[in-house]
Amino acid sequence: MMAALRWQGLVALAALLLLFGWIWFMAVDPFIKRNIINSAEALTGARVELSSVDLSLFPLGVTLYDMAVADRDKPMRNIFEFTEARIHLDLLKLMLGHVVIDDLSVDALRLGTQRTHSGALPNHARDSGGAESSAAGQLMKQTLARLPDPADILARENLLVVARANDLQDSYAAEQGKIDQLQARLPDARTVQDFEFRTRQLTQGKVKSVDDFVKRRDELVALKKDIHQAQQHVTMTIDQYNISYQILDDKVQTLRQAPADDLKRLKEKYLQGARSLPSVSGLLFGQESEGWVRDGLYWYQRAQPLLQSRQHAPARAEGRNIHFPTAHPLPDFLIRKVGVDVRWSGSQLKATVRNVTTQPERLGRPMTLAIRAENLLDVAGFEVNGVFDRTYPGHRQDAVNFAVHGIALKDVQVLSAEQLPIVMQSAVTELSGDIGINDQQLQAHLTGDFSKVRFTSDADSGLAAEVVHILQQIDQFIVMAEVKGELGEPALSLSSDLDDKLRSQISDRILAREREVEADLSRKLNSRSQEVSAEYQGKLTEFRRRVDTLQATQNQLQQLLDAKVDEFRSQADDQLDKAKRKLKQKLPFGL
Amino acid sequence: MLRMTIKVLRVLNSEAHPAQICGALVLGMIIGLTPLWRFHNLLILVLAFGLRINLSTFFLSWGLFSGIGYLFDPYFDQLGGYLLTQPGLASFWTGLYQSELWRLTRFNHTITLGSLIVSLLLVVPLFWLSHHIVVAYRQHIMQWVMRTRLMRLLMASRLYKAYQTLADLGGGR
Repeated sequence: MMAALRWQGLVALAALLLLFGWIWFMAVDPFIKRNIINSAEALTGARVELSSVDLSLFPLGVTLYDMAVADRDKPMRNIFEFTEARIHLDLLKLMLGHVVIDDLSVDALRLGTQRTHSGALPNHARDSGGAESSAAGQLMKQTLARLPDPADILARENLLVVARANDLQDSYAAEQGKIDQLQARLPDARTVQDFEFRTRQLTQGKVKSVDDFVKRRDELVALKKDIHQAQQHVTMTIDQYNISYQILDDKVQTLRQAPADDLKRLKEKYLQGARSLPSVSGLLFGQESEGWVRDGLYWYQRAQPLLQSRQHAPARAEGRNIHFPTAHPLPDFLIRKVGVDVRWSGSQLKATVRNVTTQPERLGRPMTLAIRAENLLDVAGFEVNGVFDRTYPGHRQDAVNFAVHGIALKDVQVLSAEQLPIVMQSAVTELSGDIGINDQQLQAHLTGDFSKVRFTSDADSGLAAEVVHILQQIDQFIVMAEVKGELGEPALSLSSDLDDKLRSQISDRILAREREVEADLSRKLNSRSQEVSAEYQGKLTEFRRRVDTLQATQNQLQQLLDAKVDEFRSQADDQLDKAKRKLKQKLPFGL
Repeated sequence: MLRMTIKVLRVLNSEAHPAQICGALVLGMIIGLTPLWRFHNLLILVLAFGLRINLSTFFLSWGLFSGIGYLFDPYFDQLGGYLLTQPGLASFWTGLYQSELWRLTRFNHTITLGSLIVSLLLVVPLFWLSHHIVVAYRQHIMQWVMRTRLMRLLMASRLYKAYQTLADLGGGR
């Protein structure tokens, strides 16, 4: 048995393990440092600087020295920096495969500090999403600064006047085509004269014999057929004229109605009077509020990897930990408590975050956040409390409430100079609100109570001056915001007691301008309609004149058909009576 | 490659007992196939260094089976996952999970369990097969190999002599 053992080998193994352990311990700090920097840069999208990292074994922990995290939107500023952060790890849990940080405390934390060099990462541009132009600002520009030009409207809109005029034109061409076809078959004046001449020849003069009578009668019957056919063509043409007249007259009437219909629709679309005015609070604070909502959602989405389970497929050779029910289940990664307590020149900020884990469903407790600050530079203080609950897989229920006291606002450009150069010179604000996120639905209510307000503007005339003049009468007001909807694209609505005062003043100006635009539109539309309808009205009058002419021809033909045939018959009857009398006289005994 | 060939030949041609070579091969196979930072591998290292097995073979086997293990990790993952999620075994695993000592072994990690099960199943067949190969080699092939021109060239090389010197100093056992 002893021969099978190799004691020297065991000693060598122990020595080797100690040597490797020592080398690892000496070399692991840069490795941890690099990992922290990479992870933090991936999370924030900006440069992260970390001076050094120190790993201690008893107790197991890591201390980070001089860490600064840049703001990706303002690369010359840091989101925060601190001098020292201590992380205490649970060694036993680490050996069991769980990274459990019992306590993470930060010293000398400073927010929003200036950087000496840019903190932007290459190829890490943030989607602007049209950040520079706010919807409220655009609406303002559209509504106040530039009401639509009637000529522009008429040029870009599909107008009924144009459509109906075209329709009238097409219909006229079609009807005229039908009439032309019929007119080609109408008897001309010469043909009618010929009919008259031939009828006279056949019906006047003496009938010489029975044969002559029969011959005349047959020719008259043939002529009558021709006259009748010509009369039928005249009748059909008259009918067509009447039908076409009716159709085209209807279309002319519709065209005359078109300007009124167009104007009604265009007024609905472009001239909404006071209704088109956006909320004044939306105009003044919309851009700022949209920026806050956008930033809030951006950071909320950024923080998601810290809040919820990662369901990614394991990398090759990584494997998975299968967990089983146990009295004290633990996630693979957990920070039990992050504590920040910063004091500087009379100011104090205390923040505590608990239960940070990527597997909250295993922990069974939501992440909580509590921040309290006092005596900050431009803010008297604030409190934020939040609960981020992901304990039920696939569901999230987050709630944050906050109150910010005594925000001293100075020279806040509430609108850009090109829209309306209005500056809130000074104000004190109390801000409070609550935010709730239930799965994908966001609902937030914020109230801003502004007091000691002073507005100014560089504009000494025009709308900006008028608005500022009204605003200068106001010492305090309240703005309420509601953010609601899908998390990716929530709708922001703002309301304020400023609205009523400003709305009435501004809407008077707009209504006056709109009346001008409406009159101009009406004039232009009627002019177009009348131009076309007058042309076609003339053509319809010509139709009437043509119908009258045709009626005369038709009457003439009818006279030929009626009167001449009767004359011929009476003459024939007279001839027959004469012949009968002659025959009687020649017969004996007067038979 | 040359170094590896020399090592293999030197081990096979040495006077080491076949069991010492095969034991080293098997232990190297276990540590190579399973994830390195596991509690059981500390035991393997203790066995490898504490027992009179051929360490060269152990390290060669470790390296060789590490490569093989990398290729087979997805299958170990599947096997481990399958075993750990079997309803019939749930109470067994749950029982082990309550003990921190067992959890230190990371038995609930899919690749660890899958690869350990496979390597333990291979212990006896690999030992038996490699033992037969070593014995057969020494009986029937070694003399012929030693006479080949390539082997004579190799034996004349400085590298081989260096290995031989180390072996003479006791490094091979």
